[in-house]
Amino acid sequence: MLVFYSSLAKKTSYLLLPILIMLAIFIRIYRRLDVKRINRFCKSYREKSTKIPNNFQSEGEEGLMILFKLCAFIKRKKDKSFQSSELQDSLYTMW
Amino acid sequence: MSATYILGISAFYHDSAAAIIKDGEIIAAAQEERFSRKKHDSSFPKSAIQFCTSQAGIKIDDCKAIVYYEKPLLVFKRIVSNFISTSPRGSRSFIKAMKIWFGGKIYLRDILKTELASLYSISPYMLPEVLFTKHHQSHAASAFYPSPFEKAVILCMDGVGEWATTSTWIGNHNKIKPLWEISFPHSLGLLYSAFTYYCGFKVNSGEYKLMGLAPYGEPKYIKKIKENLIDIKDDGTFRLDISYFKYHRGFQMTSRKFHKLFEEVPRTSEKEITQFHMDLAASIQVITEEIVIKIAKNLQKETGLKKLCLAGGVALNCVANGKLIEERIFDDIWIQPASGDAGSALGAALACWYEYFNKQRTINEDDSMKGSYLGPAYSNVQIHNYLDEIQAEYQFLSDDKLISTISDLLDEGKIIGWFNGRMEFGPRALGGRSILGDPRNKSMQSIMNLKIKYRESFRPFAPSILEEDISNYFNTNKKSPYMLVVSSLIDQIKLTINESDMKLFGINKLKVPKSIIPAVTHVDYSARVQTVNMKTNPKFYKLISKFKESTGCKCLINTSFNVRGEPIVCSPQDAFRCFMRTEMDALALENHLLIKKNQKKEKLIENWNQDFQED
Repeated sequence: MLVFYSSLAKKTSYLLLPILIMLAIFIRIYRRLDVKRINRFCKSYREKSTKIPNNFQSEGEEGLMILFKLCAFIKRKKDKSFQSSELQDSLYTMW
Repeated sequence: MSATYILGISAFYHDSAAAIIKDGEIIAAAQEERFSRKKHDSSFPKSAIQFCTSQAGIKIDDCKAIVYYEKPLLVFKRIVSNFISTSPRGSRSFIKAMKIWFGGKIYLRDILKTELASLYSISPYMLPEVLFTKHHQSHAASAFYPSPFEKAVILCMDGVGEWATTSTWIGNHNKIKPLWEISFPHSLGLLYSAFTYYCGFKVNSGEYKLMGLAPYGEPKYIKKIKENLIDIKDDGTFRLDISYFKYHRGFQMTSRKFHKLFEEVPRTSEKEITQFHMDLAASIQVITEEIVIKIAKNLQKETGLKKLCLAGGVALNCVANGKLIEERIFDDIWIQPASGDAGSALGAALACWYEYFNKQRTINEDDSMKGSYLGPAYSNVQIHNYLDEIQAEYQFLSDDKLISTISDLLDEGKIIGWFNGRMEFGPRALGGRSILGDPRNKSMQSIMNLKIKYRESFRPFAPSILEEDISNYFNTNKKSPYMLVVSSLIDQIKLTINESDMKLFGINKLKVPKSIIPAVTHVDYSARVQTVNMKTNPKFYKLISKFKESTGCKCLINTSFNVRGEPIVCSPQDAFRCFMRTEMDALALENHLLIKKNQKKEKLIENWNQDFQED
């Protein structure tokens, strides 16, 4: 029973922990879409352009993205499947 | 001082491409699909990069920088935040997307370096620095820097990049400055793609079919679309009611609510195209035009500038471009010929040169795209060796003899494969890799659609005309070297239509010849015209001149050298295969002329669709 329990707990933590961490991070990153509704009374839907820094770097590689980079790095060693045509079939999704 | 080379790359979404510039001059650019022979190939553009560096005569480590066309982690953030907003719906597509991202795409800098290092067999540490531009910054740069304008407004509209789906900029000498934008999920490109999907065409490739279908219909659904799907303001900015769409949370473009609104399920590709689909196509086309024109008017009013540059996938909507020109809002408009994501590879490299390295800009009075002939060329020696190797029957002719022979064949109603000089960069064939025909022939449109291109009969063909002759056939005197503008025919060349023919609906309208050049006249008396000049394509110019001299007809049918689902041919091998699998009558490979009936029968390829999926 103990063996079963610890194994189950282990599996669950493997599954849930990253999900919980990611969810927490995700929610803090953006809630942009929530505020975009049709407003028949406003005059314009234009938004201010974000300032483009002249550093030409891949924004977001710092900070929180270290976690994702680490995951990607580990996964990448085993699998380069993202370049396969099957997974690249992104015609209906905005990936 | 040695020259500075910059390599631009766009990849991993659709239409991978590479471009190289030398001290700001565009040296080469090509889409990967042309080499891999996979339409809209999104894989790492190995062959295109190799072609670019070999055309420039350098090795990869001679480049000063490698620039990727968007900021991948901002795209990642958008996907994640999008999921948060829609979850638990969209979980399946989110998981699939995450597999791709955690499978490596998230660490794209490393992927690019690894791929390039293995391609050139060097250590990743020897590679130049890898830089990133924003998606719309790449589009804006590709539209402004090669343009002939010192100062201009830039309008970019596409599906989506990081967040922006519509962005406006001011270009001034060597700098571009953002004005305002509209962000995902509100996207004109995706709205058009949603209708493309609903009408049974492939997203990201079938949009031009929807545009071609529009003149067969009546814009009956404008009110319905405006009342339910989209709110358009006076300045052209818009917002979608996202509950009608599914592209942000699933594998389809439209939701059940959308289908309920139009009281039909989405058409599948094998089902018949009905008047309903034509009317929908007409309606969404009108709405697209309205938005583009409203934004352009407002931009002109606000900035006071007289020139406009366009880029992004929506700029390939040549009907909307034509309407924009007709409105005369701007004195001059320049459109990037590769205005989809492929052109962003070029934009990324140019943005780096002017913005990052802060270099001065030299303005070319035509433009700096070199006619968009930026792909590979093949010498007569290479072609000769290939034809001998496969034991093809051919004649080697001088330029003059070749041109007069081809002109005579066209006059006899023959269909010719024309392989000449450098391949075009962008989706249009401009006389480098083209199939040519006689536009006076009434049955030529259906012959070319059904027997040569194996595609839908409603699809129109485009005319190529000498630059100086454009106003003899069309209601414009503006040149259109990249076939990105639709113009209407002048009344003098239109034919009178009897009353019963005028009552025809839908595809039946095709049966009625509309002008003295029926094969290139669309049902609404328009044509997507290409103007040809002596400077950028002398051989093609001479061919049209010769045809005009011997027949009096001032244009030729020019369609891309491929069959349905196939990328445009790149090499003589591709051209010969395409020639042998279709009912083309002759093929001009530079100065080599091949006649179909002289070729050995065993070289004929019966199943044109064995290699390519229908698009």
